[in-house]
Amino acid sequence: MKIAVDRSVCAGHALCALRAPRVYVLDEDGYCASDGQAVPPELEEEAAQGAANCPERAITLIEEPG
Amino acid sequence: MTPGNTLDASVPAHVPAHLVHGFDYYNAPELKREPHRSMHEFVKSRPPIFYTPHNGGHWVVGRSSDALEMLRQPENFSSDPQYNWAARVPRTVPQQYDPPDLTEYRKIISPFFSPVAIRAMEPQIRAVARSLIAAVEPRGGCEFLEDVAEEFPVVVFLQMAGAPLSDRHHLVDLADKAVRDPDRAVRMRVVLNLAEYVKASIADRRRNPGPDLISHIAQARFHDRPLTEDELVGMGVLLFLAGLDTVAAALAFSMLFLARNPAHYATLRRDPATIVPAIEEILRVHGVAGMERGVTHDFEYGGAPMRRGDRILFVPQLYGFDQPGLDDPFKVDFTRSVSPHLAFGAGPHRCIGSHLARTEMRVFLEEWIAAVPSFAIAPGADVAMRGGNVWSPVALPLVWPASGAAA
Repeated sequence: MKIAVDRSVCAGHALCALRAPRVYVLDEDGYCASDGQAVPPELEEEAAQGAANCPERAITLIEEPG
Repeated sequence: MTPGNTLDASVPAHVPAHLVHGFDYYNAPELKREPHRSMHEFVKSRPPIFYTPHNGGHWVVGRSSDALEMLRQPENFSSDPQYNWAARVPRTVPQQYDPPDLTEYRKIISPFFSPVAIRAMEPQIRAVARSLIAAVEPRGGCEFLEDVAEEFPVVVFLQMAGAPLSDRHHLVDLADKAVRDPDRAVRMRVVLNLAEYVKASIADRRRNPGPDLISHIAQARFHDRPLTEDELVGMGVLLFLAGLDTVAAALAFSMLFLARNPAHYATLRRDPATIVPAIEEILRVHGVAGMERGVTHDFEYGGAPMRRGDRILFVPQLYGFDQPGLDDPFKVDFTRSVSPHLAFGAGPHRCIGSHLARTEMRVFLEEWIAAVPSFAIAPGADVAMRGGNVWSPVALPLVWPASGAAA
């Protein structure tokens, strides 16, 4: 699984990292810096929770084949 | 700010009759009891975007999905006072600017409000929470808003601003009048007093700069020039006022909910890690702050024919109830995996103080559960609410078994 972040929509709420601190990384201003990052299988549920709590709906999780 | 209690505008000719529904954001009687539930019921059965003649006449955006889209369109729905007669004096910075200026101004203050910066402030915030709780705990009761919630963010702000604690009482008093005085003329006069305070602070920090927020903005540059006096004052006043009644109201709603729901309070005490999701769930059902925009040009949006200069009211207090996929929206469940809400707004104006506000709430609740095993609303107390720009309990008398109480 891979994280896709629409940086044009992310408004720096930082709820992804608040809800899923082991998955999401913020830049120094508090905007999501996890675009393109891979998610290890054991953190997929946490990643989904972080994405679902984004008020801007800026985060998509992409299943990768294989 | 919008004056209250007036049905003082006729409906403009461009607004069709079927979109006109009376919604008095300041004085509707429903606001005095369960404002979130009653106002949600009201907007749910109205068109998604409707027009009310109250408070000067304005559109109301009743649905979170519309709000999310509209708040991302500053080119259509602007914060610039030229499109909205509710302009403030001084013009608040960056609140009353659109991108790209908004973005430049936010860059100036962002280093003080980022998650990393707020984490560094946490020990000071905790010390403030502890001292306020220690002052009331032995009494076995307090009026939570006046004794705790209204002081807390003022003292935290004084520390950020590098202001002497001896200014505390003066500023608590100004803050209280600036945001809560029922007389609009008094509120406006007090904001000007506050502007004088900010000017004096800036002059002082120019002579004696430090690592504080006021010194920082006094030296800041907008593109290639220093900020003007008006910009500095507009920024200082906003930074001071924006986090006061909002944080106080959010804390008061939190405590009101926990006092009424001891099982939820017991959950927080048993497992303090629950406080983080609990705050989101409380914010979802008890959003406090509304916001306005002005329409920049004539066009139709969501079935509503809008004209340049029309005012638009967003009601984030209600945007935690109609989110897609949300079951049983009025059930407060600290174990929900998603607590969707727009309590801090959305888009480029997202509340820059959101990390500070969340930290103040979390740290306060952590310290409160450590000090007070159980608490309740004072017997016989009738907790009334007020509406307007910031919804809040008017007063919140609490009681608890004090630790040092003699038998």
